[in-house]
Amino acid sequence: MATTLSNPDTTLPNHNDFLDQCRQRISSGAFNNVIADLVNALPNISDAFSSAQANLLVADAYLQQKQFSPALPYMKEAEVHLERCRASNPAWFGLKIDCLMTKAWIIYFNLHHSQNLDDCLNELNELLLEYGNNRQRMAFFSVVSLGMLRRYQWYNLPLEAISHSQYSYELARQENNLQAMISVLGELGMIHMFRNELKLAIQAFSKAVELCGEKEIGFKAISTNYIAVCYRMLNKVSECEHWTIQTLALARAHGVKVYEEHANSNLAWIQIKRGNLLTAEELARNSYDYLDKVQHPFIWLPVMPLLYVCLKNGDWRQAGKYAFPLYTPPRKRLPDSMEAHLLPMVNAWLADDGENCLQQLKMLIQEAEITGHL
Amino acid sequence: MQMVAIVILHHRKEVQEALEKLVRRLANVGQVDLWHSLSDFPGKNGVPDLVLMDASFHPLLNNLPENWINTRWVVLAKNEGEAAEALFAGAHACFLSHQHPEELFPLLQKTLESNEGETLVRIVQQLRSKADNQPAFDTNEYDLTTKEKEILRLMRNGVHLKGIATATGNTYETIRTHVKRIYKKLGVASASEAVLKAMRMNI
Repeated sequence: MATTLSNPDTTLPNHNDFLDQCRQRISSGAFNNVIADLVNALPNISDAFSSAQANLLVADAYLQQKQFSPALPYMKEAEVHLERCRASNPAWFGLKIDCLMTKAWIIYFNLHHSQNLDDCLNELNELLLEYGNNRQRMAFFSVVSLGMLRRYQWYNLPLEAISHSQYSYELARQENNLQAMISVLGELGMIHMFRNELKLAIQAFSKAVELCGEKEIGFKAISTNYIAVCYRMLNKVSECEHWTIQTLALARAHGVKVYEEHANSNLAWIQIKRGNLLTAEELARNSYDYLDKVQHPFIWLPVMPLLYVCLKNGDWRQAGKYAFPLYTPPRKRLPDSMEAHLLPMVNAWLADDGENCLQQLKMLIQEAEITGHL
Repeated sequence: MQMVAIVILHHRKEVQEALEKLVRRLANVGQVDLWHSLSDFPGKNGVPDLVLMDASFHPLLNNLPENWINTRWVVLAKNEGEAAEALFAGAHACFLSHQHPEELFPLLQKTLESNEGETLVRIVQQLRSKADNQPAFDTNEYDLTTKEKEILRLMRNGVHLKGIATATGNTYETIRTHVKRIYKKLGVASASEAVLKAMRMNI
C-alpha cells in the first residue's frame, strides 16, 4: 500500500483513488501512516485542487489526534491551493466549506486566535446556504455551538443556545445520524448545565447515555461524566459517586483520559465531603496536572477541592498558583458571586499580600459551597 | 514555523510556575526558561524572544548586550511607580498586580506580535491625573538646563530612555547620565517622580 501511495499515478488528473483511500484510512484511525503517505505524495500531486484536498486531509488527520500546531501549516497550504484553482462548481465550494470548518477548529478553538471567528462563520454560512450538504451543516452547527460556549466562557448561556441545539438535534434525527444526535444532546446538556438548569441537563445527558447503548463508549463516558458533575453541583454525594464510578470504568475502557481525570476530580470532591483531605488532594492534583496539560477549560473541577485543602492548610501561595490558571484561556467563567472573591484573591497573590489572599480564599470557598462548585 | 523562546524571571517560584503554564498556551512557544535571579542572565539557550519579569529586576534593562535588541520585555509590577521605572528603562509592556489576570494573556500575545509601547503612555496618563491634583512648581527653582528640560518633556510624553536617545541623537548612556542629574536636581529617586514633577512644572 505504502509504495502505491507514495507514488500516486500522476496521469490521474485529480488523484481521486489515492485521496479516497486516505480518507477511508483516516476514518478507521490510521492517522500517522496516512500522514506519512500524504506528505510523501504531496510533491507529486500536480493539480491545485488535489493538492488542496491532500493538504486538508493531513490537517484533518492531525486535528483528529488533537495535534493543532502541526495541522496549521497544512490547513494554510490547502487554502492557498484552493485559491489557486478557484471555480464555481459544487466540488470546489464543498472543499472550501470543509477547509473553513477545519480552520475554525484548528485556529479559533485550539490555537486561541478567536478574533476572526465571526468572519469565518459568516463565510461558512453563506456557502452552506447554497452548496452545503447536511453533514457539513451539522458540522457547522457544532462549530457555531462551540463558538458560543467559548464566547460566553461556558457561563450563563442564552436561550438561543438551547433552540440552536434543538434544531441541530432535529437535523441529526432526520439524517438518522446517531453520533450527531448523541453529540448534540451532549451540547444541549452542557448548555443547560451552564444555565444552572441542572435537572434539564441531567435529562439531556441521560438521553444521550440511552442512545449510546453499548456501542458509543467514548460518548457515553462524556455523558455519564457530566451527569456526575451535575449531581456534584446539586451536592448529591452518593449520586455523584454512582455516575463517577461508571465514568471511570467507561473512560478507562475507551482510553478517554480527559474524562477519567474529570472523574478523579469528582472523586476528590467526594473525599472532601467525607473529610479525607489527603486523598482528595492527591486525586485533585493529578487531575489538575492533566487538565492543565491539555488546556481544558473546566479546570475548576480539580481546582475547587485543591483550594479547599489550601485554605485548611493556610497555604495562600499554593492556592494562588492553583487559582491563577482559572484566568488562562480557554477558561470557564465562574459565577459572579465567586468571581467577586476569586479576582481579588488572585490579585492579592500576585501582589504578595498573603493575608488578603487568604481572606478572599475563605470567602471564595464559602461561595463555592453555596453555588455547588464545592 | 518560527518557535518562540521565553524567559520568566521572578523571585517567587509559585508565580513562575503559574506564569509558565500561561505562556505555554501562547502560539508557537518552544523553549521556556525559568530564572530566579539576575545571576541567571544571559542563560544557556540563546537570546529569548520575550522576557516576562518581576519589576524588581528592571535594572537588567540598562545594560543589555547588543544582540538582545529584539527581545520584548514584559514587566509584572505592584504599582504604577514600579511600572513607570521599568517602562522608562525600555520594557515594552507592563502588567500591574491589580489588573484583571485575564488581560495578561492577550498582553503577551500583542507584545510578541508588535513593538508598540502603549503601556508607558497609559502609565504617564495615570501620573498626569495625579499631577492635576497637586500644586504647581516653578521650573527655574531647579536650575534645569535646556537639554534636561527636553529630556524631561520627552519622558513626560511617555518616551522611554532608548527612544529619547534616538530622538535627541545621543547615546543611551548619555541620556542615563542626564537623567541621573535631573533626579538629583529635582530631589527625586525615580522616573515616575521626575515625570510627576515635570507635569507640575508644566514642562
